[in-house]
Amino acid sequence: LDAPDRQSAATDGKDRSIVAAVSRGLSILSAFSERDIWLGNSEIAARTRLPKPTVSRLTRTLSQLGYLHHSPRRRQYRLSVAVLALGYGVLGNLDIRKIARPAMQAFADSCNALVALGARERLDMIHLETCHSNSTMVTLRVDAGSRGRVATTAFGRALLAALPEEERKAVFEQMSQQYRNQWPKLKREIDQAIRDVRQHGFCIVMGLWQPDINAVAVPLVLRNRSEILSIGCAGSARYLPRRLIEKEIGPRLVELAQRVAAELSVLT
Amino acid sequence: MTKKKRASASATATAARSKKPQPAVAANDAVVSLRKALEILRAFRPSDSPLSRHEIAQRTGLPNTTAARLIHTLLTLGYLSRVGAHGGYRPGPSVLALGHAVTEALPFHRVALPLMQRFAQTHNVWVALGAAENGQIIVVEHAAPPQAPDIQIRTGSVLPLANTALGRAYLWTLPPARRAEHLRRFERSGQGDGAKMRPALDAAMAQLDHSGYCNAFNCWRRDVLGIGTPIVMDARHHALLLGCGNANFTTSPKALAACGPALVRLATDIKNGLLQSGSLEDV
Repeated sequence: LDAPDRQSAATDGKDRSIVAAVSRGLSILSAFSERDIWLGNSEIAARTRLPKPTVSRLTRTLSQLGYLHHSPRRRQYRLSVAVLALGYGVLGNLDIRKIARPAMQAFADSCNALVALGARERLDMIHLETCHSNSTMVTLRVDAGSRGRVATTAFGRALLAALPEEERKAVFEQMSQQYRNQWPKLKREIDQAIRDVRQHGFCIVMGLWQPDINAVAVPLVLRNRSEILSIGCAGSARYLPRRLIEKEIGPRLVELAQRVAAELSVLT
Repeated sequence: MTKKKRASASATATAARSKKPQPAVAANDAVVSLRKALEILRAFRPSDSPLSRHEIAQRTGLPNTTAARLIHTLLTLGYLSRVGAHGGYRPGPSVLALGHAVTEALPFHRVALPLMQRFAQTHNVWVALGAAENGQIIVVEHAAPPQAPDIQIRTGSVLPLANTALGRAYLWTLPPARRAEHLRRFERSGQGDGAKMRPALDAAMAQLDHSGYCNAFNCWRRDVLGIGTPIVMDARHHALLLGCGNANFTTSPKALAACGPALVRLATDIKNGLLQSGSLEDV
């Protein structure tokens, strides 16, 4: 965006207040999740770290606009169907998901695992697309749209490896505040993952996300670094032992990411 | 829309009269910014390619500089993504997360979707479950047929009332006075093919009276056939609407209408499933 450079100091102040207003309102909507379907004002305040009067004002506004539904009996709010009109219907058409899907599905079937395409949103990874293996009954319950953590997942760490230095530093700064005394250990693991991605193209996380689940991931960098995503593959340690990941699955995942990136750049 | 505008205008007037106008005005500005940012996200349609800043400003009626500020904010928060360094904008990953949280919170994903998927398989049609919201239908779950061209109906699609099967099924559930109100609105806004709108709606209402479903053939989109039926829970709940359809070159009006009775049975099954799950409380 070029516009802000040319604006006066007065509009900079206005910009800051707009950014604050929008990000507060949206942080209230994103406080809700599949685990937290109903939330009251104090719970929202605790999750968003906003003052309670601000939260009360915004929940009232958002329910007047139709995005939150208030239950007088529960004295709590939940997201209403109107939220689905906020661009959600458009995402099914994303080129990247359509193009990546067949190859990801074939990969998932061939190694009895879950294959997921992820994007970063602050310290969370959002599953843009997930493909479950058709050949096993037991599979991880992860759907498109669900969240994981950047710091502790393979596809989060692979994505960090591809970020420009400055952006990664900013993320590390936020992580150190979020994870506090766990941070030094996490930082060492993330640094190792970044070295692994540089050396082998992929990084591995063993049993950290869930016990007995191993995961491997590669960054997916699109169109002149305009978009940085990652592809991860996770499954039971029985099907994905470390040796197999290192020798076969990791290198194949690198190829998969290259193929998807190439197909996408042909399109644009 | 106009009601909202009036509401915010009167809020400004109240703030100007109050003794301490500063914080009240600031709070009102914040509400307006938030509402506009959400309107930007609503401006995207499934058939769109990425939108430029100018297109977003046009669709939302925002001045270019305001649109630029809000787009920048939405981009930072992951609600918009940019396609290429100088390309257009489209909804970002945070939108997906938000949509996922809604579909998980509502009982439809668990209760209705499996039944809809079976129907889509058996009849090779697209199936959509919608809820009425602010004079529109929002699709809350959809099931895709095994082999059929995409008719651009999916969870999150927003459908007009006058010329879609789901919209007509919703109008049928309304008391006469409210239905007439909508008809006047359609006439003012030109929704639903002008002069052909009333006879088409009368026919749809009559069809719903005697067979429980209605047609909307080649009217919302020229090449899409649809049929719809309401799922009426009780007065406390929103009416839900169920429909199925296909492109007009993959099915015929006759073949689709033959699915009508099965669609009405599916609506009953979904209703019973929702009642049994007990999750309708507060829906």
